[in-house]
Amino acid sequence: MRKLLRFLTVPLLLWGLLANAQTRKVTGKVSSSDNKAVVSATISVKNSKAKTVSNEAGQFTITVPTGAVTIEVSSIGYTSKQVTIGASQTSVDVVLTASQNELSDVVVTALGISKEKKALGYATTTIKSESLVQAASPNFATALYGKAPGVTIGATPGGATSAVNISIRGLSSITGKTQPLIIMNGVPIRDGEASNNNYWADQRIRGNGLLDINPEDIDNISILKGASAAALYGAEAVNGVVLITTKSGAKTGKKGLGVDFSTSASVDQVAYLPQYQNVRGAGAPLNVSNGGQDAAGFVYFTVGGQKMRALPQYSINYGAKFDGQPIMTWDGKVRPYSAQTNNYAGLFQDAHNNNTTIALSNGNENANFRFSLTHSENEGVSVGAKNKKNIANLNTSFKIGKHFSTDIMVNLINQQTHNRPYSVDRLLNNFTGMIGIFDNGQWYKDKVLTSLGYRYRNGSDQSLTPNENIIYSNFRGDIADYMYRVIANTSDENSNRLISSVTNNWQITNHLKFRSRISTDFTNQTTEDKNRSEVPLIFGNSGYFGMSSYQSTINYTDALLTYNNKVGKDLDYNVTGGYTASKETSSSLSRGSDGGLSTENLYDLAASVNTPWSGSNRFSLVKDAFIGTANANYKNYLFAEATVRRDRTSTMNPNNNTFIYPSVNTSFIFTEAMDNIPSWLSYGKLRASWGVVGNYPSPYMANVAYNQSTLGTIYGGQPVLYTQVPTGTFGNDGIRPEQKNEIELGLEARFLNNRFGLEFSYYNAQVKDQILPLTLPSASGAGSILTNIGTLRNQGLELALNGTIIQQNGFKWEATLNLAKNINKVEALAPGLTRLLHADYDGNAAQLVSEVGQPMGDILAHPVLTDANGNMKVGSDGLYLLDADKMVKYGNAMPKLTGGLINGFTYKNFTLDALIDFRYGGSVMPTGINWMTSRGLTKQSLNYMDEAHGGLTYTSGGVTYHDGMLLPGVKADGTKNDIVVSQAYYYWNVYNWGGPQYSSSRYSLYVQENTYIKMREIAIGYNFGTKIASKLGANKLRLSVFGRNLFYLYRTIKDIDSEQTTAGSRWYQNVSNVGTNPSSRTFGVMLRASF
Amino acid sequence: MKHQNIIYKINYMKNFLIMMTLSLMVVVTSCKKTDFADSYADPSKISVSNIEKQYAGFLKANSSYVLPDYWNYFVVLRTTTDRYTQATGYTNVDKMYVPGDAGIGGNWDTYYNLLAQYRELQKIYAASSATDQAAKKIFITSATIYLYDFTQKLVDLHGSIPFSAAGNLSTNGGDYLKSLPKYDDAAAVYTKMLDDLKSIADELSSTSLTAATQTAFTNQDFVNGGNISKWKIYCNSLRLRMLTRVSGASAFTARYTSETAAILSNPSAYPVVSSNTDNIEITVKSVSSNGLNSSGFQSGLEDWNHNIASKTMIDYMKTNTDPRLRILFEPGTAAAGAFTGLDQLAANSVQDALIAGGTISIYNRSTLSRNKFFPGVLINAAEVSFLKAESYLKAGNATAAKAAYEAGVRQSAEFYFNTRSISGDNTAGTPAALTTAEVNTYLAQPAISWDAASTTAAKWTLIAYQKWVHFNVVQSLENWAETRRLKLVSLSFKADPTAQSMPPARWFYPSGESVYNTANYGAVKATDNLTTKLFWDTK
Repeated sequence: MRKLLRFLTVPLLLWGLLANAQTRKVTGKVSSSDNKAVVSATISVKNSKAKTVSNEAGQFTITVPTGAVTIEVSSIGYTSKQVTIGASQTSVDVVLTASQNELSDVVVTALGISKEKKALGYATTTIKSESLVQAASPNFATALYGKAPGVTIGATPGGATSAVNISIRGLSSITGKTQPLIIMNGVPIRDGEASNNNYWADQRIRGNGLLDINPEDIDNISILKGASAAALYGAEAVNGVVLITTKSGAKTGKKGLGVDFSTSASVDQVAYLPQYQNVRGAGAPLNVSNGGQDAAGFVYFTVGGQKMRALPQYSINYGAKFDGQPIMTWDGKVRPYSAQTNNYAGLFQDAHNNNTTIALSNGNENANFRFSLTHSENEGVSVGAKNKKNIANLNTSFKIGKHFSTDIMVNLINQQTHNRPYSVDRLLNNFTGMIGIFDNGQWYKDKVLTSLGYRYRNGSDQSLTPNENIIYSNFRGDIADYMYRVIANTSDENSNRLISSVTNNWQITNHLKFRSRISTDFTNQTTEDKNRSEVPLIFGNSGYFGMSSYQSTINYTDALLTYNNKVGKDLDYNVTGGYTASKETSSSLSRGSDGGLSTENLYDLAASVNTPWSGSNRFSLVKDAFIGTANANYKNYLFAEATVRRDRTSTMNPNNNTFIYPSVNTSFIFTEAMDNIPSWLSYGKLRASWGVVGNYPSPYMANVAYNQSTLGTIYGGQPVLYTQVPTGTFGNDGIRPEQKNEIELGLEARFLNNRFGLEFSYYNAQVKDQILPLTLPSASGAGSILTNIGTLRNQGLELALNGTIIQQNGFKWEATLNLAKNINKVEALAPGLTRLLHADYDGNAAQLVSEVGQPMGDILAHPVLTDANGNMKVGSDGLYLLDADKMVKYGNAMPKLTGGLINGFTYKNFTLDALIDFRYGGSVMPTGINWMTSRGLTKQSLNYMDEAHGGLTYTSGGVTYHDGMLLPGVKADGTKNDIVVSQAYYYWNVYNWGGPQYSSSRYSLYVQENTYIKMREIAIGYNFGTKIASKLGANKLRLSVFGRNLFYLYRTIKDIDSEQTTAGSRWYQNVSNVGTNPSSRTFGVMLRASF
Repeated sequence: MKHQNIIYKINYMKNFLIMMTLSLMVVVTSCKKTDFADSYADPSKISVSNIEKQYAGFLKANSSYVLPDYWNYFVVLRTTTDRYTQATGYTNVDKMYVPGDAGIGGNWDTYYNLLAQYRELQKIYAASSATDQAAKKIFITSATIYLYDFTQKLVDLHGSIPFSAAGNLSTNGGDYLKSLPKYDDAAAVYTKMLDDLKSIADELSSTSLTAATQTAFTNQDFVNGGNISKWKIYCNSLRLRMLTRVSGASAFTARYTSETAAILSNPSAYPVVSSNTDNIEITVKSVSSNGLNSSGFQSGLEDWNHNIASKTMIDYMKTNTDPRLRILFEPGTAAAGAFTGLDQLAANSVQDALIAGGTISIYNRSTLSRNKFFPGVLINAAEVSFLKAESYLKAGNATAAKAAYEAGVRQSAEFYFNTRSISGDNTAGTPAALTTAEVNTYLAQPAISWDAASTTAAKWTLIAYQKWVHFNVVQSLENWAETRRLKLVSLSFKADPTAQSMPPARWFYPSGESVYNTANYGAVKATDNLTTKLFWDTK
């Protein structure tokens, strides 16, 4: 058929050429359905070479043959349109409608350049505004769960002020930074890392810079995953790039002033707590431990001549079963002895959040703007934690004359954070802070302040209210200390952040344009810490006041010159050259009182008893790069691009700080290039890319230099000035950058009139010269040294399927499935080194290592000692002996498969959006939870407690017990084990702290696979009809209810949330620590209206 | 036409200006080569040092383990040596005799930081001119004395340690494979130190400094204030301590006898600490938080009831009306002035109840934990006197032994009363002043009196107990070494059925050694347990 047509058109063409002697001019205007000029639309005449583009006002003039002709008008983001012009017609107005998949057609790529998606030779994922805000996520990162294949999110528990990690295509650095670069409207913004895993260094849960970006202001997020996509960012892009485009006035699709309003309110509740046993209280059977309790498990106090029972002071909970009878509690109150199911949750609060945004926008062909104001308040589950934010955002662009345009973005974020969530480390990673079953957080809330407002006192401690001292047993000092601190101490952060940029565009000629941009991201923050005076002045000086200030600035600029033209009629090309530079500086200053406050609760440095201490910190980082790109487009179905970046950085030795990062990619739209495409295939594209990106050490890490300080004048006439060679991490002036080489192949297709879509990618990336602080024995002269010693490979597959599954009778079901599989492998470490140690836990009880040939993050522990026949060996106490000389792999921290399933249902005015995210494989070692088993707090620790639970009956010291266990194995003499142990003794010791040198703890049992399927978000909405909306003066009105982090459909670890171990920006900080804050579940309601 | 031309020119100008503005934006922010160099090095650090500055940096490296501080007292000593010597009372808990990795590692890493600074000092010294080397030798010599003091302490805790090849990472230019250190045999380390200190003792007798060096040395030496004769005293006193420590090892017995005799018989050539004015210590000059002081003592000793008195010590002091009792301890708040120590053999719930009840005595807060001026004791008169007493007793010189013993007791009491007097704290109330009469009475007590001790063995025991009381928590590591060596202080411990049942004979190596220094650790792995005795631990 096609051939026949072609055969027929040839004579027609010939005729047309012959008739070419006669032409005429047609003028016209291209506008969008909302009556805006469409600039740079292509107007071509069918069967003719004639072609032109519309000008700034959407107007065009084209020369066409006489007679009726058909013109085709196309523009990025709009559906192409064919219009027939009558023989006598001299003007024509064309209205284009925005294409349905507008965003999937145009994608923001590196340096903020928009490109047609079909031209891209690499994978990107774009997430639109609606899916970021439907569940009112307080930041954009936690709105990304499951929404992009290969992108995984890890949020530190604690609430809206806790740091969130993003990782793209696995992890590209063994010990370095793995967070992507974040670019907003083309300019880099401050993100920063957080580490919340070291309680002793910092007790409050910190956040990172991405939390400040308001999801309500985001139009779309584009994620550059592979090296080729991100190659223009060179050494900053080893972990991928997240490109944020904020909403502008150009896209409102309305005449006149547009007003958008949204408000939401939600509550976070503590969720996914350990499964506590509700059977017995503190103590132990007498044959296991005698702490002075009687056979029933109690100790006694005489109060007012009356003998009262109480629980003995034990951190283990294998004591008396709850009987509901009266008992003396540590706070001196008599209560029924029964399980307090709210024991741990009682230490926290419900967190209330609200968020309101009003946005105004307007635009015409010469200028447009969008201005929004947001106010949000977020509490944390940690008592007293509260964050208030005011965000103002202005996005505007205007034209200066015919050839210039300017875009201006101003984003101002004002924030007050009162009491960042306080780490619960001491309550979970510490035996003496674990709350018992007959204990309650509420009781601590009531007792930690004395009636005079001082800190609680123990025993016979000096006090003005001695009769309030805590004297009864089973009091947990660590819990009281936690509660005291969250109630009595305050920390207030006040910050202002300004992100602004100016972009100028100059169309020099039809083929040549110049763009330059300058931006700044400035943050100023002050913090005041106030700790109450703990004791009256007569007993000593206590309390604390500290103040600090922090400034951070990123100045950025780039300039791009682009030339485009065509060769012949089928090959378009463009060439770009440019320069980019940035300077990042930060400084902080802090001072605090020393030796307590001289006047009770006088919060000022003037109240410091000794000279206040002070500290300061600063850094500066300079980067620049020359960049060049060349693009070619053959007949709109074959695309190719090559890029190169030469960059320099100040974090490397100045004599060797210049590196080059190239990339190439190509895209082939086979459905447009080939004949005989079956009709069910609407669109098909193959792509391939290769690129190199890098990674540098953090500022000042490489340089070796002396620390210097002073001790003041001591014996001589001059102050004692001293230097020390660094013995923490030793630098390395010869360090090279990490280098990632990645190839990527992909297929994109759409079927059945674009109803179903598929995107598939395969990538293979090798990261060489990993920069590692290699741990050394301190006896060598330093704790670690910076080295280039590793090679890492990430290979993977990504698949995204989407489609409209049902669409009939007003009902629509759309679904997206995202899947990513990443295989990580350590290919090489230093010569002679096959294993790199990241962490040694609890005195060689377990280790986190990366081993050559394996994915990084193997979790090792000691196996049970076996004899020559493989029988497990039992010690004289009836517990297994551990093989102290051997460590075996029991898990690996890297997940095997991650993804999300997004379902959207629409029925008439109702919508239901449900997001499921999942992870398969990858292990964690939540030590704190296992120690809870050791303390007899988890359900697991009830096994074998009596005959009903499978316990054996045995006699000890003339008393019969029913909590026996017999471990299969052999004794030291090789005979079958016949030593019955109490289950209390078993759990206490087998899940205890420490390596074989200290204990019988089997850390191999602590390692658990972290597979889950979670209902992450549900939003149910109702769109009011225009009738109701218009009564309020609105043209759109929507009410919805939503929930986040709702429930698990499946999970392998029952005692914690799957993200509970997230405690820092580096992956190895997220394997074992459960002591940041409890996880939470959110419910809320939202109203959105447009006017 | 003209009109058009003007418009063209205006447009041209406008375009030009805009272009200039755009270009300027880039020029303003573009980077120069020097920007990169300027931001490479941390502005708070320096690339070159000198002998004087590095010397002070070396002395500073372990100051938090010399002056009482939180980590050393709370993490290291509280759970280890203070228990093993019963210098403090403590609640019996599981694994109470197993030294924890945090404590072991803290002490170990601090020593090797000190050694790394010493190696850097050697490196800077070696790279300086011959003139400078000649003029500034005192910095190396005195640093060596100080280093050996702590080298001995580390050997006494672990046995063999990395020493001769340790701390060289910077010297080796960052070659970390070359810098993994071998272990040196414990006895060999002692031999090396004794040899070196012997020659240093002679060298110092003939050392004279140029005026410039003396000024710099006085300024930078915050231990002895640039006083060479004090360094000489430190050196010889240290020799006496080291010789005494190894006296029971057969290979050293002869050396002990001859060298202590040589030292003690020639005090002008080999002076030792003979009065409290000679004490070698870091004196606190400023209690501000960045100065060298003992403000971390309070939480180090008071947190978690670390300051609880042991029954053994209180009973020994109370029975013999020890004048130091009121200055070293204070009665519990609910004890009505009575001194009582915690019984280590009691059940732990009983112990907890007693501690909570406030009847148990605690270490005197005004003398010790809240005394921010508490000195960083290195070696003092009482310790040296007891070393002398031991030497004379062993040599059969009973008269000289008695004099030294009694002098030691007097010096000990004087030391603690002096220390109390410089405290800015009065939480424990003002104590009655020390009188010579009460010391005399004390020395006449049947269980204290030298003459009343009928046998040589009994006299040995007297010395051992006096050392134990004198060292208490103040010189905890010396205390444990001497109680292990002499085994004469009678201490009763409750057995721990869950792990090491009694106090250990040594500490483990920190876990990092087996992991990061695997090959060298292999050579000492067999002895890395809690039961292998030190080579000098021969009783």
